[in-house]
Amino acid sequence: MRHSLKNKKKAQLDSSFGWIFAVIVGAFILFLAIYGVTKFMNLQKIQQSAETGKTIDILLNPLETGFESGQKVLISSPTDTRISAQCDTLGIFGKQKIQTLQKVFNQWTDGGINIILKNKYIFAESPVEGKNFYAFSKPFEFPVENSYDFSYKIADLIYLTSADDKYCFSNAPEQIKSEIKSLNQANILIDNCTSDATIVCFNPSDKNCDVRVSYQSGTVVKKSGAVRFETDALMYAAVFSDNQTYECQLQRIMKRAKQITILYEEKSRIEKKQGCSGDIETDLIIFENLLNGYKSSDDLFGINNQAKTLNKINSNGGECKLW
Amino acid sequence: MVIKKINNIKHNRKAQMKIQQMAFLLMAVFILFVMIGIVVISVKTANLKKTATVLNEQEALTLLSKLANSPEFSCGNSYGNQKSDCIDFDKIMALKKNIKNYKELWGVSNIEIRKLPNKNIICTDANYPGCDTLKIINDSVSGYSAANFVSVCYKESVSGSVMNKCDFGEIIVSYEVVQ
Repeated sequence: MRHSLKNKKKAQLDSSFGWIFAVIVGAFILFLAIYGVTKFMNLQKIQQSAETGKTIDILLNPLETGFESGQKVLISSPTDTRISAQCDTLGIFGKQKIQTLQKVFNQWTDGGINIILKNKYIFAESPVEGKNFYAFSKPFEFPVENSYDFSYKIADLIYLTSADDKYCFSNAPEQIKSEIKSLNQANILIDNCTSDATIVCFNPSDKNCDVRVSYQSGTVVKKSGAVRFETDALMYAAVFSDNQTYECQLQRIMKRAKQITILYEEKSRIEKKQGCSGDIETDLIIFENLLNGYKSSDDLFGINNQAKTLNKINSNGGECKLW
Repeated sequence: MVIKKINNIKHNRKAQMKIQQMAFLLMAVFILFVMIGIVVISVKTANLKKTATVLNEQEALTLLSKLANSPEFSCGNSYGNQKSDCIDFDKIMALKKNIKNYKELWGVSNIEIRKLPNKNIICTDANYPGCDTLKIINDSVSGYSAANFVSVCYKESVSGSVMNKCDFGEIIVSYEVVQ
């Protein structure tokens, strides 16, 4: 009796050891599988984010070709997307970072990757959300005044907005109205403002304004503060982006302008060897130093004055115009 | 007594065999999962490389027209009226001298401007503008190339006076293939 009991207990112990072993190893395998799948899914999200960012970069390239002003592209995504266009002033040209996140099961995915672009200047609220996004561009040129025919281009400014975010331009000048009409961008309205739109007022007596634009003082005033602008390209930039992005992107543009000015200094030396004469180099160096000392949009006025002087000298250059 | 011992040993061996069987089975299942994982990851990685290369190709194509009209390349009003797809060779020569600042701006491996027809006379300070090939960025990489026809303009001294000269040319942009 005792022996058979002992044997039974041993057999039970053997089989229960087998079960415990199977459960422990099974749990280990399951843990590894779940861990692997989670890691893999995160990797997929990062890949998706990087791909979308790069695609946005490529889609925005056509905005920077040719001389036409106010070109437009529509960027569509199958799911709700959050685009963060961040600006960084570090380095010779600074950086434009684009990060995209997708909405999955009503939650924003995490782990979006930054796509770094050094030759783009995107003005947008950070972040913008939606399924459809509009982007249009305008060239930024020196001197920053609408009437100059022989100004030199620094970069194309890209304005990115979500189709869900409406803007209404109230009492805008005629040139702005006709430009917006020709853009035919569904989220920018003229005068007939709806309650869900951000109202941009151009007349000081207008009421219920979210943004106030004054051409007289050259300022765009928002709840977050005021920034200075010259020309329509910068006015749009100030309206469609937050103040921090605006100031940061302007700093990047001035860095680019400095490098282009260095190129013109060198070009002037090269063309002197071919028989060109002229003394624009000294003024170019003064301009370069002004650009080097650029801090904020308050400095635009002084820089622009020197650009006007440069432009006058250049337009008198005959066959030896630098730009 | 002896029979009992023999019975015990038999039970022990049977139990050990079962455990071994179970261990081998679990090992086999584990290895199977690992192998499936490796196959999936390698397929995904291959797709990722393909996507990266396709995106690079697309970027090279769109960059071509963008480059020709960018402030660093374009003629502006320097050679008469503003022209589209016109490259200022003098400015490019100046750009070549400052290329260390510009290398990362466009994110491409090679940018080359050629006058057509081309005799492959590389531009230097000594022979400029009597040359026909200007290599702006010249990293030794194998990859995808795209080209576009442009006009190449520069100033030249002809019997003591400065003249605007424009030749037919092409701009070539190369990208590295993602390894």
